[in-house]
Amino acid sequence: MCKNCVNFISQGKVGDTGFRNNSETLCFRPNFLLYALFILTSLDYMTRSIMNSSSTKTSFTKVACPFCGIHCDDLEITATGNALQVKNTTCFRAVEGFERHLPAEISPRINGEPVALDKAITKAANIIKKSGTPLFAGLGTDVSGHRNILQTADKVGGIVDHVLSEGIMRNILALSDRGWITTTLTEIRNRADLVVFVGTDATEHPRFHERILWAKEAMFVAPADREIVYLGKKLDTKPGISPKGKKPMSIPCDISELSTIMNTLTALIEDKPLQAKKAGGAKVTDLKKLADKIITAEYAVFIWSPPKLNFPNAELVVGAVSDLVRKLTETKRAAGFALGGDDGAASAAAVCAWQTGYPLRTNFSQGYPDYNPSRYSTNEILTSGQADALVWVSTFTSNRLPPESNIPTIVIGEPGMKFKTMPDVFIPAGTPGIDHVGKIVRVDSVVSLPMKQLRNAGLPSVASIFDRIYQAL
Amino acid sequence: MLIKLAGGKVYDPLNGIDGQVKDIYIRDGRIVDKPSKDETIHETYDVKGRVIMAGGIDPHTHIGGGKLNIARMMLPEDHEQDLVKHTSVTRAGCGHAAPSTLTTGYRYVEMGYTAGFEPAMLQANARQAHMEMADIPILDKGGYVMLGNDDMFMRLMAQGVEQEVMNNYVGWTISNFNAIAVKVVNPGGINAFKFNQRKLDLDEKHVYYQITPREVLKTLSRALVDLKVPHPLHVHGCNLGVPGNVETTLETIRGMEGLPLHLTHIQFHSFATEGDKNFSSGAARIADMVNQHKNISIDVGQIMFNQTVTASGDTMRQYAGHTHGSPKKWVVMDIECDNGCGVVPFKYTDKSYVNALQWAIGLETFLMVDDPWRVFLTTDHPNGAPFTSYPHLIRLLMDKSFRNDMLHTINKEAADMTVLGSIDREYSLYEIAIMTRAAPAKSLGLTDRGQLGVGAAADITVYKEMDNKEKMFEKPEYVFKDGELVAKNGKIVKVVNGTTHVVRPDYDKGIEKTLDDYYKKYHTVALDNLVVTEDEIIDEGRGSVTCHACSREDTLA
Ligand code: SF4
Ligand SMILES: [Zn+2]
Repeated sequence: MCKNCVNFISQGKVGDTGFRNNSETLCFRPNFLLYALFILTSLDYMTRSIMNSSSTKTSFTKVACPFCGIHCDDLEITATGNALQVKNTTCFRAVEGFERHLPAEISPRINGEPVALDKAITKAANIIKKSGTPLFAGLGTDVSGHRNILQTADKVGGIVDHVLSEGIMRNILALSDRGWITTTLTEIRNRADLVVFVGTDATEHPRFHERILWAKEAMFVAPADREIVYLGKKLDTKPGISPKGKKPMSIPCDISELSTIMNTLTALIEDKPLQAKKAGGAKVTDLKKLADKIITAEYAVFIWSPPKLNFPNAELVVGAVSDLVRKLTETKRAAGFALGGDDGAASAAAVCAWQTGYPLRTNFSQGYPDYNPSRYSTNEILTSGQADALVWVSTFTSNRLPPESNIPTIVIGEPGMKFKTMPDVFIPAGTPGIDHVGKIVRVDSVVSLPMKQLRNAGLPSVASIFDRIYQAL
Repeated sequence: MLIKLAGGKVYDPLNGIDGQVKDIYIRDGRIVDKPSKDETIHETYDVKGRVIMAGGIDPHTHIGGGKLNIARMMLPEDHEQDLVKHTSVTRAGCGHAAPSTLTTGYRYVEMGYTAGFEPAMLQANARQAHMEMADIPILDKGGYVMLGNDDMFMRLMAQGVEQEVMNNYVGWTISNFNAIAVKVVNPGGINAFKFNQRKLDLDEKHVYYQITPREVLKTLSRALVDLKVPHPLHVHGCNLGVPGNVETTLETIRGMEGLPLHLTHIQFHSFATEGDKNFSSGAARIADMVNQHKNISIDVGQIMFNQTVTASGDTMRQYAGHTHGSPKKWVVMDIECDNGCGVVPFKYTDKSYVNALQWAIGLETFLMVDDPWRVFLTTDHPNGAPFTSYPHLIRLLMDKSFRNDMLHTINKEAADMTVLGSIDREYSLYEIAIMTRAAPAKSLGLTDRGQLGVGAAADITVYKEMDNKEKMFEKPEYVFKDGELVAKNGKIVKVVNGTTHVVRPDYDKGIEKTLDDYYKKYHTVALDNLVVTEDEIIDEGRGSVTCHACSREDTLA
């Protein structure tokens, strides 16, 4: 047998198991046995039993946060029964997410009446079975949740779309039109000497500045010396003040002018003569100053936030950033970076892409994946009446309610959701990273993080709910 | 359940069986001895006259991980031409150049393959690579973890630490990302590109760390030997696609001084500069060198004339190559002080001198390397061509007249520049069985796969023998995975889950302190959250992990 597997077991990294040793040199580990024993021996099990008693306090470290796309994984959290407390950050989104109140009543509901989970699953499965083309939307869940939703949608001929797809598509359209040169969080942290925020201030990721820009140490730059620039209006530029007190540069402009601004910067960098004094509402002299900074920087990073680019043809901004970075890369290094990725959006796009070839907005009603980034938006489907049932999934927040519609509606979501009209079926579900383990893809679509289980409130995962719905179909 | 495959012609090179007629018995997923007379045989397949081989093993195919997913998102127009409907047993998906994970699994199996290895698993992206591979049905899989461009590695090298420290880092990496081998891509070059270095030759110094690719290669290869990892260092060398890079490749082999290497997609590294166009074949020199150096194995990365997409960690060379890409859209990404990726669609055409010669270089290499145990059949899916072109490639290797017919259709100048037409060699079925299953299994240390001996996993492919080898290898009559019939006449009939093959070398866990400090200081993910645990792969029984012994026939002098 492989003696190092024994080593691994003694470290507690894998479950103990019997070895099927029909060859001297190999160890075979039948997974069912391993899994059974893993459950029995794993730390998870022990913490779970501790968590069950409501008076004991359990502490967790290196907790990954599910509440925004950058998924900080340095949180310290204590659990007292089902109540959680964030110990080492004041990030309002994390505090709000982890510390939100768990309602006393968390049982599933049919037309507002509490029922057993079995019943709710059967009812949901019946609605889906009866419908011709159900829409699976919201999709606020983790990788396993997405997998099982897609499996169900494939089987019944449904359509899938994420609540933040509008932003995702701004990126995807630019990607499938021309591509880009991008980077990831750790590269920015260690390498970026100039950071240009394009129409965003990143405040929707409250710890972005603290964790990435103003980190204590970096390998190739002095973080506090980074140059920060904001392009856009009504941006909170305060987090851009360096720890040494250096103020960021700010060039106000309308977001709809951003592609003009980026194109002007590209022209300036190419040394093209410009007659105009103003471009995209900004002074050309200011843009020239910025162009000079960009030229002298070793690794300029241009950051945009797809959800913030909320206007028609906003993918042109992404394209213009891509063009600028590509121009720069002819002679030096620079990169783009897209923020976003909240509500499991990056996982949704990634899993859908690897399972079907397409990032969301995909219709299975013809038996194969049919992708259409405009026609299969949640809004378009509901207004055009393409779907005859709505399955809304949202487990990260109680604020994302299903869109109004008059088709049968199933909601699988955060237990605190308050509905104007009660859906036909409501199944309160756990949040990945609080109620169950899971995996979530980070905003850069490279790193994915393991989510921990912090309490045992009896809330099922989206994956397990869809598994059961699928079985019942 | 006892199954008998009766009367087939067996090609099982690892057991020296070359077409002998033999019954094969399967019980509980394994090949077993002939049972005693009183035992009931539950199912008998009459396979008289059929060719039987172990399931195919692809040792280099980009099937899981972020760069393929970028390719998928970038190329909706490619999927459109090959949309795949669900059936009562299979899920919907898409095929061609950047197929969905589901379709990837089905199509490999329908073609008689039962294992495929993702050769470019980034530490930063390992979790996703494993998750994608978990969604590849039926097929066994495994990942080669990338080292030799990550800043951790470069720092240790620059500090001049002892080989043993490097060994510990390598061992830690393999074990903690559930890998089976290590790959290096453009050694140090991906990292150098982040410092705006545009070229890094074998003995050129990295501008920041002041180390050379040669040093990176030797250190990593030595580490794997010391750790007794079965598969040698998997190398995507310097200067990919650069005319004249044959010199670099030859010097890479010479310079290893006997240390084992696997040189991957060597076609892209075998370019000489003769002729009017300063582009010619270096295949003969490469083959000669490989023939002389038993420490070297290769795979070819054959190109085919079609639209495809190239996906590689080699940002430096992918960026340089984007000007030749088609359609004109491409992605380059710097990743996590770890590695990078570049995705560039390509359309290889037989009318292009360069592409036509690339096609010939690949085939020359296959045909001029003597030892099929050291040359594996790959197209570097999807970089040279999608894996679905393997049956066509096999026919090119087995059928000289077919090959020469094809040769007459390519760019005339390229046809004049290749010796292909003068090569008589035709691969035998036995040799095909070596290069598509026995040799990759042996090289990776999969002692119970790629062969049909008693005790081996019952991954078995049954072909109808035909003169047209492309037809023969396209749709095998039966494919068994761990003893279950999963495909019949090129159609999936049952879906099971394959395992993930890994190795776990011995190393000093003391290295974790160094790594943890480094991660705390510079990274955006905690070390504990970056590593991929075995139970994540097992994932409540969706997957399983098969760990192979670290032992190797030491090829060092
Ligand atoms: S910044 Fe985002 S990921 Fe980080 S703690 Fe706040 S909400 Fe969580
Ligand atoms: Zn490759």
